[in-house]
Amino acid sequence: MSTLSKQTFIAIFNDPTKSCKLTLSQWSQLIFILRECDLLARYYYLSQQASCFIDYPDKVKHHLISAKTKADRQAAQANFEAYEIDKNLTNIDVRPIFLKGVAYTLINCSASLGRIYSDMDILVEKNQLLNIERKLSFFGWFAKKTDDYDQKYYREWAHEIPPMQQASRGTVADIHHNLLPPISGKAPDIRLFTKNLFTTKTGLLTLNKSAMVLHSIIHLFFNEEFSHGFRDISDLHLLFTEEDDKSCFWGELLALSKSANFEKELFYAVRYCTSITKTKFPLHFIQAIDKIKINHTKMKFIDFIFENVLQPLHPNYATKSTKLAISLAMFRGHWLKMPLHILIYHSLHKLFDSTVKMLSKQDAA
Amino acid sequence: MSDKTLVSIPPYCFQIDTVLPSVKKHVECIYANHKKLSVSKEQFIDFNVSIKASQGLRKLIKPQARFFSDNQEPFIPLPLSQAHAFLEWGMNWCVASTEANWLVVHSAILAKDDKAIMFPAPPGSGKSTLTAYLAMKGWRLLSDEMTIIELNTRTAIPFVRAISLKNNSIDLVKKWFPDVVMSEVAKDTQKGDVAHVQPPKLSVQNGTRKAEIVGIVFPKYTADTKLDIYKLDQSDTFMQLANNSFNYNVIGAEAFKTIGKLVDECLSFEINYNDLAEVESFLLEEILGS
Repeated sequence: MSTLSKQTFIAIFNDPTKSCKLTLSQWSQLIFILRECDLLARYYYLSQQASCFIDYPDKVKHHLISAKTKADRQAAQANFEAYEIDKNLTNIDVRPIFLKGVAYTLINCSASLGRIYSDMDILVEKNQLLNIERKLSFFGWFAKKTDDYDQKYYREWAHEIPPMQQASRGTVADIHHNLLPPISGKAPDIRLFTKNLFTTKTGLLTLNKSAMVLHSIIHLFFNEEFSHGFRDISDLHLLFTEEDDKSCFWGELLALSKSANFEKELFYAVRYCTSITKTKFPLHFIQAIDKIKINHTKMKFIDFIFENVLQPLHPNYATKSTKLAISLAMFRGHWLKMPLHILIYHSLHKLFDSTVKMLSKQDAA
Repeated sequence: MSDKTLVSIPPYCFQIDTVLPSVKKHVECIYANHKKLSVSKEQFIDFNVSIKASQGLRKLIKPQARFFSDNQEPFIPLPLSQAHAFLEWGMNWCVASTEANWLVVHSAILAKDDKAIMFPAPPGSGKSTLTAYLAMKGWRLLSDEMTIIELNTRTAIPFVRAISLKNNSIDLVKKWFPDVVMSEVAKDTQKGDVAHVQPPKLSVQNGTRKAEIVGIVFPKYTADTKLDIYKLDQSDTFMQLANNSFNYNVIGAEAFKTIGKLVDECLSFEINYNDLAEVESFLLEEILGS
């Protein structure tokens, strides 16, 4: 029984026409890994675009169609939910700006292809947070039950409110006022991102394309866990690739990364999109990116982490390196977002808490 | 027996991976008549499921079993004594959570001469005792739990697996059919005592033979009623079928049309009964006979 190597998997994902030589058991593995990466539905669309879906074995098509059907349903649901929360918030004079996966779906860009997501992320003004928490209850939204520690985390440290859940439909909305927690010291002046918003056909607000892409980049490179790392790099690849070389998008992206102080992260995004998803960038853009200076040793460290965690993570592909990279990524992500003394407190609490939960959960079974 | 078994359970192929003796024994028993495929040859595997014992302290204190579908662990662990039943519930989850090409309804389905009757029913209605009775009486079992229907048709696709019995019905079925092949009883589960009955060999051999759904019967075991039959109105039947479907919302419009077609073209009844032989006669005469 032949195995499917990580390199072959990535090559096929980047070019679905390369799958014609796969054996049946390799096809099964491809599907398992795509499902683990939450990319099964996306692969349906990519293989349709590459005009090779029709030639796939019936069982493969069956699984891809099931995944696509579920993702389409979720996209329809997301459009509805976004419209509803916008309506509810407009009632209390708040206009939410939609972020991340839901935003991709609302603007119908290529990163919405087969995209699945669990929560809705929205951006509002900081001074509206408490008002939102109070008033949204009129429309059936309540703060998700969290313990006292998490409340403190959200309110004092992250300056956020806990996620809000719609009581009858179960939808969860994460309500943010910035792209990173202020306590990290790296939260940008949010007006840099919100000064030029995009309005969808249904009147909903999202960031404009360059701000949206930079936000995704920031989110990725400040993250602490990477179960969706490969999916996130695939999103970026699609977002970059759909832009024409001559589009003002590229200049806007460079300018915003400079003014908001995220040039390093933009450099990383271009670097890993080039190496992993073989993204082609306009020459003028690459020339500008190459001017961003990163310390050589630091780059080696960053490379070690991200070349591992941005590739598909699946037990079939787990090596000592990937496990180390995952741990380093977790420390890095936490360290970037929290001052050291709070990080230590937070890590100890998480360790204690998960031990307690493990013992009591198993006792309940 | 190696740790990995590849079982063909049309329309799917499951790879079952376990070192636990109770689970291996269960698989050998329930899937005795199902086709086994070679792990070393090139096969397409739809679901890669495994049952593992919890490690560490849990190996000694209140040992537990964990279910995985590839790398996903959708459930919290259960007591190790339920490991074999856990496998069956996990396999149900695999299909219910991924399938969107076909409508999947939480319902038993049996056929005579390729004409099938669905028996959707909430737990405790006695549906599985009825299923076991009919199956042992020569009806072709398509499924005890999951009716798979091709969209926009009344065509049911068999998915032949065990019949799961609970509590009193375990002893009843053993009494009526002493030759029945049953797995170990899993005690004190969320549903009480649970045992699995090996599906009849002929049903397994016809595992790819589709059937046309002609009737929908909602059974309810009622101790003091021999057999009362109520004709259901279309909107009730529609609601019940939609509510009992795992993927109605996911599929959307096509699921609506499929259930609409079933409701329009099939006979549907609710029955209160305590006499299984009477039920069988009713099904043969009033539904299949018409």
